[in-house]
Amino acid sequence: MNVDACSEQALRKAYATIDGDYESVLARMITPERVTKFLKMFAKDGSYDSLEAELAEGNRENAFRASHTLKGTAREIGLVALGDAASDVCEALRPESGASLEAAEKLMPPVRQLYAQAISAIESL
Amino acid sequence: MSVSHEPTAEAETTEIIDSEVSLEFLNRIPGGIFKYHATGNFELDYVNMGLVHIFGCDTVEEFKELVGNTFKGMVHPDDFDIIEREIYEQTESTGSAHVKYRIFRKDGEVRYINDYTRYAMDSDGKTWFYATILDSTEEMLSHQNNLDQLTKVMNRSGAMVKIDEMLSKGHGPCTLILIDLDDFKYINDCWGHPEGDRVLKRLAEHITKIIHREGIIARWGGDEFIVFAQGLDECATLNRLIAGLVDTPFIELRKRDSNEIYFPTISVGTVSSPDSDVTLGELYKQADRALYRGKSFGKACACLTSINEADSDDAQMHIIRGFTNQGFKSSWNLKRHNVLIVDDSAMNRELLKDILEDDYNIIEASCGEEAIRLLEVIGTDISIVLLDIMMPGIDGFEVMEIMKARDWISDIPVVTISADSSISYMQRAYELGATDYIGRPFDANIVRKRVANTIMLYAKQQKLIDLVTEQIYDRETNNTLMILILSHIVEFRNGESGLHVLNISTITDILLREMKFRGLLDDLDQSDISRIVTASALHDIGKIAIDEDILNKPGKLTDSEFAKMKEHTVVGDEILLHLPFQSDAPLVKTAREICRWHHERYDGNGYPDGLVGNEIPISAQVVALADVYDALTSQRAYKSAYTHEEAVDMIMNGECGQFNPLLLECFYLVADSIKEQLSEDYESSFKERELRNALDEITNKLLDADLSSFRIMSALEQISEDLNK
Repeated sequence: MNVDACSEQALRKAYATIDGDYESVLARMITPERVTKFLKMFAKDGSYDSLEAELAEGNRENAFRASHTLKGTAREIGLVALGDAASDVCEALRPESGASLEAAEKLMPPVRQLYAQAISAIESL
Repeated sequence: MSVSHEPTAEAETTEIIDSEVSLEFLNRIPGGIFKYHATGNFELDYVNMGLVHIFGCDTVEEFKELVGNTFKGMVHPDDFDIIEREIYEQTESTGSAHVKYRIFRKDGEVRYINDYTRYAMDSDGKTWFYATILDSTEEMLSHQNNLDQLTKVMNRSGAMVKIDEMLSKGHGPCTLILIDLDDFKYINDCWGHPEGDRVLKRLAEHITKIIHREGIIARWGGDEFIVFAQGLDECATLNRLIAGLVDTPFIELRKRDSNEIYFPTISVGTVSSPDSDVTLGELYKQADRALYRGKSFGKACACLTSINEADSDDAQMHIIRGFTNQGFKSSWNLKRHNVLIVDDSAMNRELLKDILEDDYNIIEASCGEEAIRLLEVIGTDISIVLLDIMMPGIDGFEVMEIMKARDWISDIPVVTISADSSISYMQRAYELGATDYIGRPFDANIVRKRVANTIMLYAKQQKLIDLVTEQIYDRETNNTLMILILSHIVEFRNGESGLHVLNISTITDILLREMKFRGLLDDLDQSDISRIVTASALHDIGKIAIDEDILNKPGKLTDSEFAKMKEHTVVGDEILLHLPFQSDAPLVKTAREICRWHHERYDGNGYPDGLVGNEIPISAQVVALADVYDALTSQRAYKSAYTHEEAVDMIMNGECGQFNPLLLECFYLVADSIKEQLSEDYESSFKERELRNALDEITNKLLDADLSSFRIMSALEQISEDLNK
């Protein structure tokens, strides 16, 4: 894959629209190619879908793991806002937290919104 | 083959027959001739008597009833879908088709059919198939036609017939083994096609030699062979056969003008079914998948699965690693370090792989269970484990607990990866033996540095450990020497080879280490193991009380003599029990177990107490096996020596009594290294042999002098001190 200056521009813009931190991602991943590769991979990763599914099923333990993975992968590619929102859900679902499943569910709207934004930004690349 | 020579009395036949050809003519043609609709249920239109006879029927009516008057009804239900597609595909391009299938005769017998079919459309726009079929069962079954010309094992079609027959008649478990020659293209390209042919021939011989009469062996095509064995399920025998297949070089390729030597290797996939209620197709599909999974571990690997599990990605499977080729860059053999990445998220694995794959071999595991399996297979060839903590099933902490219990963690560094950098998490990881952690998100440079540093640190640490171990070893040698001297006195009276005690210790050591490595001895640590090894030298100490005439009798012992002989177990235990000093020391306790119970057998048929299964301490079980092996391979007053291979076979076949099956499996896996180690010991330093000669002499004198035991002890102590100077 060869990312020219023009598409690096697009990459920067995409990060700006979804409140991501392009500079630090690039510093960690070193090349824009790698950043793009993992953005695309993130869009295909199943952890968001399984978070939704496990919440709907009321399966707390699996939902916790899915939110944990989502938080991790989102931060991995510099989607800071989404990572933070997923982290809130993750902390609520953590077995030791004492919060109810409903309380965790209430924290989902920002995750849904940010995830949708992120996906459409990635797809526009 | 059914041929109708008699003009049949089928006057009532109302079939449409081409006007140029008489009914009688068609009925005289050998083989079946018929015509059927190319649409719908493939309803039959015209059939000749040859066809009726192939199906074992006497009249057209009888035949029509048998097959429901359709072509579909003629074909074996398992074959129909395949040949229907083949007929369409072939006629589409050439207008005619040649297919093979099976049919059921009226009496239920299965016959093999060669079918030549032509597609035609008549003036009314109706579409037809005109077909001629021949019964080729005899041909399929005939010996010559079923042999592969090159390798002289069965060919594919022969094997298919035979296996189908066995599956339909047989009951009980069966196993299909798929064998694939690695890098056949490389061999042909670099060594030439004649050499390629020679490799295939030798591989066929190799398989035949190992599989023996256990099953059907066939060349499936190209560089692929199959073995089908009935009555063989997942068991030690299967493991042994497979290990034999992958772990023995079967041919050596040499270049005349250079020193280059190349040993071709094979990959193996097996699938076992608990019953014969499966089709060859199902078995083949699953074995192929197992082969593919085996190949993902590198060349020369065998993957063993069973039919119920092979479908799932997390299937229980067993990997056996064969010998790898030093002269050839197999994926394991590159001088690169292997990094095992364990994470349930594919994206996380990919992130790390992306960062590390330029410098390392990456091996991936998607769950804790798979990680443990890989560690079992690859062991210390893994230079570092990058371990995610939060995973379904066995999580990262549990992986480390297992690694700790099996003592792997001191040889294989673990670096945990987690976004969860809370103190308690990290603390727990360190307590379990993690070397370091990598925080997330990953920083490519930091990950690279940390992995490189950890690998280097461990390498240095290993060198230090080796140094210290050597020093400790030197000190322990002195302790061991005393025991060796004592047990040597016993052997000396037995007329056993001077190496027996040493051999027992060596074999015991190898077996215990293998069991420990496989997680079978989680409650024993390294010091327990070395204690058992040391104590094993004393196993026959009770023989000191047995009459020399019995010990060295060349012929068979009488019942009463044998009863006397058996007492050496109890006597040994008692000698140690009544030691005037340290009779409760762990070493003495272990030695008592071994003395008393090293003739017990797993099924309760041993002596003196008839203990069953794991009532027998593992120390005694292992020494018993070691004792049997060494006895078999040594010459004794009453027998000559068996070869290593004979001894292994006899032990595996239960000819020397039953042993713990897990122990046997380990024994089989390390049998070759036992052989190697023993011959190395035998040829080891000249100095040791000199020492032994000296010991013989001393022992002789002591026995002649009939000194009291205390004085023997002190005399020996003095001697051993002198020897060590």
